[in-house]
Amino acid sequence: MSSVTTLPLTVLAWEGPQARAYLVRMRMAGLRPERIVLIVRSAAALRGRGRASRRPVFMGRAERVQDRVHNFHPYEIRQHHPELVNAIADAMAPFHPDPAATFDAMFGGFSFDDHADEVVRVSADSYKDPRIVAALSRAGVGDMLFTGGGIVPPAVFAIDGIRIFHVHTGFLPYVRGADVLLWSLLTRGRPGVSAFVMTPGLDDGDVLAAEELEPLAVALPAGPRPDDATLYRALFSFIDPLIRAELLVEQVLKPSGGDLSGLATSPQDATIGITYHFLHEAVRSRALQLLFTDPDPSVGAAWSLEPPAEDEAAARLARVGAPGGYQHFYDSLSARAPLTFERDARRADSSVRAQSIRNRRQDYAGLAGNASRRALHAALNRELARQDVEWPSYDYGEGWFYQSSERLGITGLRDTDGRVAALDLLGRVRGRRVLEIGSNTGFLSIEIAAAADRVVAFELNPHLVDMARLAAAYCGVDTVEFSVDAFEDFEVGEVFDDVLSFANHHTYDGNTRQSLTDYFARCHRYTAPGGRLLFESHPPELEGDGFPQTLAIIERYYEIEHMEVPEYGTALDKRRRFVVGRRRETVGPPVD
Amino acid sequence: MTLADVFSDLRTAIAVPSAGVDGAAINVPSLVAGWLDRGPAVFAPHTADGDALDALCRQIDVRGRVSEAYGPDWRRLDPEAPAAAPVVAGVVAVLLANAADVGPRGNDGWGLKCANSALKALDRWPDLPELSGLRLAVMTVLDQVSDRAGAA
Repeated sequence: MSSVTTLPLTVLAWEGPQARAYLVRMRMAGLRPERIVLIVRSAAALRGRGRASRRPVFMGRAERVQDRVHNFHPYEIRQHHPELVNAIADAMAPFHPDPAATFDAMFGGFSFDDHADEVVRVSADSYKDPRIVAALSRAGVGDMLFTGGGIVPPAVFAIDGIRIFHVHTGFLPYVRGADVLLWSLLTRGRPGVSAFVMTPGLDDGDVLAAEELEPLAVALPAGPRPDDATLYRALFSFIDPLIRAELLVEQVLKPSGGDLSGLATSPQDATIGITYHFLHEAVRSRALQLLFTDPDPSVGAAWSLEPPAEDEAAARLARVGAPGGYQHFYDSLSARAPLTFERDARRADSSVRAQSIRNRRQDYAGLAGNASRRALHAALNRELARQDVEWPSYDYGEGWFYQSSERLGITGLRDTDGRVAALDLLGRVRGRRVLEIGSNTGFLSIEIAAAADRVVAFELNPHLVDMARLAAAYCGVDTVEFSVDAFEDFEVGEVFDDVLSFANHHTYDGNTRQSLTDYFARCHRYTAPGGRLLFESHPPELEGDGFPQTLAIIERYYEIEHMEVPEYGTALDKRRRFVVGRRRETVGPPVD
Repeated sequence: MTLADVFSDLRTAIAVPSAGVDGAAINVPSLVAGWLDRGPAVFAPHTADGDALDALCRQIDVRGRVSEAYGPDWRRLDPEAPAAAPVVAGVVAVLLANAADVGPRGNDGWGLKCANSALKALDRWPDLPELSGLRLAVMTVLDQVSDRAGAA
């Protein structure tokens, strides 16, 4: 269990995305303020009339109403535009460790009581309400984080010993004022963010931290573009709060080591910078066009996913997407997913399956900020689900992938990239025609395709072949020909310079219908004159009749040129023999 | 009609009071008339002209009004008299002149800020004199902002 550091900090919480983002991000970093002073507005005030009730019996209800009113837009957008929220999460991934999980934490079961040792609720309708000053004074507040919601009156600044921090989405001192995130995009081409000590003036206090971020653009999903009002609300619900929270935590609170009294500040140069006001809607529209970019029509043409074709398939997949399945975790990134994966890993009936689920969990974390990869993983997961229902034999990936692929963001039980490097496969197959027997998900064939002249790969399990085709399309590889075949039935009217037999000479799924001799005879048949067999064994304990026997049979058909036990990869990669044999023109005598 | 023509026409329409308002440190008709006399120009921020135009931006954007006169540091007077329509139109013209360089390689925030305030003023006061010339100028600025978006 990780430790939590309580900071000598009060958060003056004005209910809304900004306050929630700060608290959630602090929690992610193992930090919490010692106190939250939560302003609870009366239902009447929220409806635009009357004053706050002083009766505490109504505080709970008022707080719930306030949640619904102040967070109305993020709730609405999450409900009606989930694809927009996903797109924002993807775009925000370079700026924040886990935007999707943060959104879930902010707007799914959030409670202020989970985020501080003490939560003081103050019934007040605005910062002018003297009950706020009274509550802050009573609590002896020193360092305090402002979370927006209005103008802080002089009486708050006058509280003895108070110092108020604020984070502003403009790069100080150059960008001050309102709507500054959009102003920054328009005038500086990138967002900026600054933390400073508030004064009664406008954004002119001493700066704690300030930076300009990398250019930010949200690639909108295909379909009608949301109207500007929705995009503007999405900006303040999901983008602006995360940018503020990230700077606050990473550049102010964490470096402080819990001692806020020692925070260094620097004064602003008042002779530079511009104070901006709210954007006119015509200018705002142009800023939103910069921030929310329409989908590139060529993307869909290059990479599209087909929906399930049959009603039966749809029903089956719906089951996978139901609670307990995983597909919904890919349709919309979820903070619950890693927890579910970990739970399932602990319940797994084998260590290999547990490892696969943890690999899935690891890969899932890499989907934020990468929309195309997420689409790929969603499609692959759909195929895994089909396989789970339809494939009667052993699943070598045990719920996730047997082969890994760095460029696909997939961690498998076997290390494909390590294998390609350790066996110098790119060098060996360069410019040659290659046949891969039992290609599994095809990730190895896809890797060597860049070097080979052509790759033909076949695999008995049709689901693995479908996944291979998806992966090849994603990688833009069109020089691999995948097919569904058993080696016993495989027929092709050509021979190959290199035949890859990677741990396929016998299998433990019960699907092999030929002897080792027949197997290597078939390899020999498809090897071009002068061509080679590239062979990888199973680990010794799984090598059936034993590796010497296997090698003896290979030697009937191939002259052994090279043999090694390469050191690379996962536990399943270890202790395998790699053999390179040159095709014999005359087959040797049978092995006893 | 060019922005220079608009400047000229508005200058003739502005009556500069011979006597100041009681307690006024800033006489807006005089200020605007002086700017119109000089013709379209881009002010540098944090200069006397830049600060004065910046203060008028705030009056338009935040307060939604332009007064005939202000006290020291642009404090409002009591009572507060609204500026005449040609004066407000003059402010808009000067704002648009300051937005003249807005574009992919324009004067960055200052020009955009001025354009933004000009747009708000045209919404707030739809019956200003020289409206067609002002609208033409603001359309040009908006096109330049769009070019800017496209170039980003």
